[in-house]
Amino acid sequence: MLNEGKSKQILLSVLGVAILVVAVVGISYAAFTANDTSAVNTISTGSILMTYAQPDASLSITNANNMSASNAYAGANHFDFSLSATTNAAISFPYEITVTPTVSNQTFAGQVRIGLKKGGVVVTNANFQIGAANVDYSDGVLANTLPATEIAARATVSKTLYKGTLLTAGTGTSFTATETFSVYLWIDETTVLGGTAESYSILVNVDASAAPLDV
Amino acid sequence: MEKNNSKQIVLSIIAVLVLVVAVVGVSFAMYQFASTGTKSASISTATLSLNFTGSVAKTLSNKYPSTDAKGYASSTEDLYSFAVTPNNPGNTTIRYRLWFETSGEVTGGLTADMIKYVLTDANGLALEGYGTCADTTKKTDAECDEVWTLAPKTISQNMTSATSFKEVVLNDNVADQYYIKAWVSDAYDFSTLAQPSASGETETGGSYSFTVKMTGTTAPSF
Repeated sequence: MLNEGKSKQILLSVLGVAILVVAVVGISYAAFTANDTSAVNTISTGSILMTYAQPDASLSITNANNMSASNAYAGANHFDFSLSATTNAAISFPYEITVTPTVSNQTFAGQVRIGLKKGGVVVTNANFQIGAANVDYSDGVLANTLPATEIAARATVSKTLYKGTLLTAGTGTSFTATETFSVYLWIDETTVLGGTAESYSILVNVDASAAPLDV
Repeated sequence: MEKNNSKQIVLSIIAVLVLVVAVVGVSFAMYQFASTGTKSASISTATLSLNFTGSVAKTLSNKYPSTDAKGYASSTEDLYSFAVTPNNPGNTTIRYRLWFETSGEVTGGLTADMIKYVLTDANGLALEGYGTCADTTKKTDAECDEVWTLAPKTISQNMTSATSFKEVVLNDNVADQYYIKAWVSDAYDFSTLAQPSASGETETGGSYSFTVKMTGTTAPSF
């Protein structure tokens, strides 16, 4: 009887202490929470500006005679354009200059010669042709950087004239680069001119890209 | 036996009551005294706190998308730095978590998944977010003789308390200093803004701002 009473007292005491512990611990859990926010940090990209400038009117050569490459390059019949880039850091832009015929007379294309000077220096092979069976745009360094439709269009009818890299240089956050080009168009010196005039036209395309900066 | 106990208790109570009545009665009759002390003795608990210190707003401008290697090699001047400072005089166990939150307007598609980062020391060497190397003290590809690949996360991976980039248990009063090296992911493509860009059209890219959030507790877990 006495033992039973003591057991009850002990049990009640234990329960009481347990409840007290839970209560106290519960209060202490809730006693401290901290929340804080750092200052606002920002990261922003630089800008990229590329310009393809054609200061002169379209080139139109009439009554053209056949001639050698050297004579053509020495002549005044050229179409000038420039490629420039402005960035906030040194950026390398691989670019590709292609020509696209705008007439369908591909038979005559084999007699047409196209040459390119960069900064006054000839950079294309003197025998460069734009024959329909001589398309090589697909091996260009930019093959995967253009939208699929652009690539398809270029690959079908265009030919790579020149591949180069434009590297902006400068100080601070002002970096620029400019390259100037002249396109020459002439009739190959082996061509026998006929009684009927033939004509041929091209457009010049410039495609460029920039890869992420790397070490 | 029980009866005797009861009697003793009753008698004791009566005796105490009689004594109280007697004493009070006497004091009523003889003398009254009351005095209030002027020197108090009090106690109050220490207060805990946990705050960011040394967190200065920092802006990195004119950054271009970079490979992980290039981003990781960027200058220590580009480190975002802050410290979590406790006021913990009693060496209480405190847990805290750190995570990112986008702040303000995101422009140019430069979203949290386009910002890569690693936690570094003051010298810009990764403490977390680095790849595997048998010698864990080696933190660059040049230092490590094994195959070593940097494995940074994007900010978007750590934007809730539950996905915090750091969880710390402290029981001291020492500040934890942190450095974050962040860069624009090489997945960010200016061309997505206008593809392809037209001649003479400036691509300004984008801007992203973030804060580091902290929550702390003395609870045993979050």
